[in-house]
Amino acid sequence: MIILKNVTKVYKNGTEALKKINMAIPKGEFAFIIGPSGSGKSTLVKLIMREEIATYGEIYVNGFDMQGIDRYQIPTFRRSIGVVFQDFKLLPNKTAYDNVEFALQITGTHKRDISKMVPQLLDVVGLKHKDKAYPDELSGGEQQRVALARAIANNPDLLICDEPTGNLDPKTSIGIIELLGRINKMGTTIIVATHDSNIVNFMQKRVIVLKDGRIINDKMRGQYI
Amino acid sequence: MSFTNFFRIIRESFTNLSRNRVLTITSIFTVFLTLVLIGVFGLFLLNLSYNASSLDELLEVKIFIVTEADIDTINAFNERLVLDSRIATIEYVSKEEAFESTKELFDEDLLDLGLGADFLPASFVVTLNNYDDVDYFVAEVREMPEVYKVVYHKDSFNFTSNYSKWIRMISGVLGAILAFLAVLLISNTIRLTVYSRNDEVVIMKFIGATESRIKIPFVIEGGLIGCIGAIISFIVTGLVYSKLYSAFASTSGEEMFLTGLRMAPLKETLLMIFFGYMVLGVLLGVLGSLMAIRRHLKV
Ligand SMILES: Nc1ncnc2c1ncn2[C@@H]1O[C@H](COP(=O)(O)OP(=O)(O)OP(=O)(O)O)[C@@H](O)[C@H]1O
Ligand SMILES: [Mg+2]
Repeated sequence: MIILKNVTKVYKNGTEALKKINMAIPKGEFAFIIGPSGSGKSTLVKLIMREEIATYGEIYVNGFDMQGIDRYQIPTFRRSIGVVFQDFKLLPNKTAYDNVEFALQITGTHKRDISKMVPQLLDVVGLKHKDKAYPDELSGGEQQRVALARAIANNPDLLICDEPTGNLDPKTSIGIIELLGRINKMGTTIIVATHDSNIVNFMQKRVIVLKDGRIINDKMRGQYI
Repeated sequence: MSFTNFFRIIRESFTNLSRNRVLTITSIFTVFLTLVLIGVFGLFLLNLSYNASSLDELLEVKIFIVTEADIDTINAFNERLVLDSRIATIEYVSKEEAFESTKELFDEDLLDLGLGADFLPASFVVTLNNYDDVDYFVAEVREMPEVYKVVYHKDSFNFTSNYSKWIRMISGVLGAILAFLAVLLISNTIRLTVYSRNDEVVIMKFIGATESRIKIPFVIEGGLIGCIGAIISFIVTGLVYSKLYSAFASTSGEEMFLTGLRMAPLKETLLMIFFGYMVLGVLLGVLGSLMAIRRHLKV
């Protein structure tokens, strides 16, 4: 599903964010990427969703070669992944329903299917009753749930989350991570970059530890260190 | 892209433009200035060429005789023209004929307005054999006491050849500068909407929107700016031109009759302005947004 071979990322200003990373994440896995601030978690995640391109090495995600992929293939690749950010990135002038609908419209889903799918998706994240609410009428946790519903709308094989609980209190964070656990049980591979020890310890899943751009630890049922 | 999708994008474009109101209005205004400048000079040249049409017409000289002149004076003048070897044809238009032909141009009865046949001068319409003689001939005739006025196409022709080169050049340079400014301003406006919609762009990107689906709304926004600018320009230019046109048509017959100038037909000209403006305006807008997208939209 995800394979990184000897991946190095040097930013334009010379910062070496990742150094010779080797890593494989099989289909259906739930993996945390942790490490101190500046260790390269976000960089790694950005390489996997091809927001950034590796300086050296090879990266394969969902069968796409991240180094050699054609420009016109990128939208197809992006439809096979879902992305969740720390700041939710909901459109403020759209309701919860419309925000989820937006993802389906963009990918050209048929109108009839959209009106069936959006309520189902909101149901999965437990927000069926808040479909008409605007983002500023929702709590942080609820906003992140809408973002999650949007991320899984096109039924991606892989869900990538960068600090999904960064703006949430511990209790709400556990709710979100439980939801991610449920989505994972339905077959979606999940990667969560975080420095939230709370959720890592709660899940007891694979933990990959980065430090100064290197993997220093990789345990199957890991704890936060 | 489906039909409903298209309309959604148009609606979104309007909303986004209204968010950056000042820049949008400035851009529209620049498009307006550019188009009106190009339009005014274009119309000027169009009317010029419309008036100085054929070479045959350039050989024609209209000599108006002072209204006080009696039959004897006119006959004597006619004699002199007949004897002039430079002249090919002579046509005499009496006061009465001039009055009749003018009357046909108007709905109102000129007599009702208190205008008698006397107010229009009699005239000779003379065609010369040789184009080179026109200047000398006209200069000669102008000196004669019984001649009230001489009208010939060399006037407008001279004007065309002497000044139109300059007019073309100046309007070309000014037009190019303004067009460049318009594109730059539109590009700035679109750049701001790109920035203000950065979140949306990021979301669309990660949802898997195609590059064109992300870019087209911005191109449409630029096109919309150009389109609105074109419509405003058309309204202003069209109003002024049709005012001028009707003023020209209803000036006291004397004036139109004496200058012999006509204006390019209203309907066709308006249509031409409209399409010209639309094409140019939209082109400026699309160019501006393409410039902004190329530099500021990382997909
Ligand atoms: N666009 C960029 N240009 C230059 N350097 C960058 C860029 N993004 C990140 N870096 C640098 O790369 C290194 C790794 O950054 P990264 O954001 O991947 O860390 P992180 O583990 O996500 O940190 P945090 O926990 O604070 O989010 C840091 O030294 C950072 O300053
Ligand atoms: Mg980070």
